[in-house]
Amino acid sequence: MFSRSARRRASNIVFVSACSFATLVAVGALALIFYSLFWHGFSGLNVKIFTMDQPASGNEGGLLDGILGSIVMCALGMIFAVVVGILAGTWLSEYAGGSRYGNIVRFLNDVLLSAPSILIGLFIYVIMVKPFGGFSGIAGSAALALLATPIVVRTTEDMLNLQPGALREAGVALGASRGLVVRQIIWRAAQTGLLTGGLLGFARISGETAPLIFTALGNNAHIHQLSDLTRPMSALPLIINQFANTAEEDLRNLAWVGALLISLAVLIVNIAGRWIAQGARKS
Amino acid sequence: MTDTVAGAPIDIPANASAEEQFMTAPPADKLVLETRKLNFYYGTNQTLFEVNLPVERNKVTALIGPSGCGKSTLLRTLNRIYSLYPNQRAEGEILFRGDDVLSSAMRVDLLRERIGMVFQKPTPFPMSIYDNVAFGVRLYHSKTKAEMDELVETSLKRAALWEEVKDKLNQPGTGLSGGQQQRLCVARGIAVEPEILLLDEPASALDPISTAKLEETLAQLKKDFTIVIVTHNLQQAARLSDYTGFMFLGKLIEFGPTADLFQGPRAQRTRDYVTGRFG
Repeated sequence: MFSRSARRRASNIVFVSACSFATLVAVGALALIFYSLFWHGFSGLNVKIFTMDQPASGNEGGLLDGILGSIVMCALGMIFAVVVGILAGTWLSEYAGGSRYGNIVRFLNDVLLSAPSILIGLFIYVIMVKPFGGFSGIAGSAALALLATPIVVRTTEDMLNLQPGALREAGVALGASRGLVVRQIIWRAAQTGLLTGGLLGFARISGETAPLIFTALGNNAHIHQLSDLTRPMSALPLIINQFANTAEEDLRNLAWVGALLISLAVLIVNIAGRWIAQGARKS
Repeated sequence: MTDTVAGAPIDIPANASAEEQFMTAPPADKLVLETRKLNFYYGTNQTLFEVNLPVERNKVTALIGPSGCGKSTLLRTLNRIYSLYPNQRAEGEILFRGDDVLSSAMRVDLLRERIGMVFQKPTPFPMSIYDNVAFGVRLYHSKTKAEMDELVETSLKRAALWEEVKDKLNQPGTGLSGGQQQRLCVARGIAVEPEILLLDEPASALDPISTAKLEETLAQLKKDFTIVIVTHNLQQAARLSDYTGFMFLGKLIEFGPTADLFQGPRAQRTRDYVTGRFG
């Protein structure tokens, strides 16, 4: 009796310790990343970062072109991903069910979800950059959209599946059509989850570099970021990629600042999203 | 089913099996809803067998029976809610004021406006208490703010919820207690003024006090609506209903006035069930 209970207690201690250690490793890695980002990046943060374009080595400069390019391409990509992703996820959850066609679409979406981002970039290069004669912001947006969409599809389907069937039945039992029930009841019940899907998608694409190399290429004249989507466009990850590999310390420091900005943006969007969702739930 | 003489007991052979159906049907001219030889299938699995259920206007009809006997399935055919699921199928006839509910010509949205439903677990929509009640009405009528305000108030009063929520109509319906949520669902159901209310074990997720309150509400609603209620609580059936049907293994074994069925059941199965020998 005693030995069995002692053994059970010992195995429990081992298991809990293993779980705690694993958590520590994961959180510790994250803490280290943030620590080094702040350590290297924070000192470089100043007004010029937000007012001047990327410099040549030895000159003064900032990251404005990259910031604008990232905002434009992420925004365009997310608009596409959210609209298409939520509609497609809704179709999978509410209409396709376990049908053959639904299963095929679900499988393809999962494949797309785990596709290496460089392949997505090459794909857009082949279908948009080459035929239409050049690198462009719109091609970069398309690549980011293609990366974020399957995440939104997946999350939307999962979140809608979590909604109780009785809620759908209750809407239909009042005489509402399936579509109306989905739009007015199910989406609303799942809004926090849908928002999470969008945030996950944004977090994924905000730091993507490989797909942009083949599509947006990079450009250091910030006016194009806003006025002309058909020309090569700058983006923070592209600048980081370029500057981090140079010998010049001032450019490497700018790369650190860019990395810090991306991390802060993801953090702020996440916190804001949760805050909005909480507010919506309360009202 | 042959025509029935008012109040006269008639025995209908169910199908090839040895079970017999004991029916004391209400007078035919008072029926508002009726199933005839209703069969139901989940895929290839048949769960209802030749069910003939009469529902009298402005009475409460209770369906009792052990778990899995088909009483909820039967209820779910009456407003065709089962048709949400492609592998579920009903055969036979369901007559609602003379029209066949199962016919493809039946407009289910209009049918469901006339036949409301309240579910086992409370299903408040993720919106305000006010909007919950107004939801169904907005599907069919455009009303002014004042008309809608009045309708929401009347419906909540009829569901005996008004006093508890009148100061927080703009708060989410999901914030209410379980019992209040269920009465909110009743209010939502009756706001569209259906003729029939289908209740699928409406009190099974509620505590005794909430149950008592809900039953009080339902007793009030008897005056205005025809009610069909599925319950596994025999006392509840005895307290609330005018007619009771006992179901077993997908068959309606016995149907008659509630007092008769509880005090003098004719089928052995019914007797065993209402005296607590099984189920």
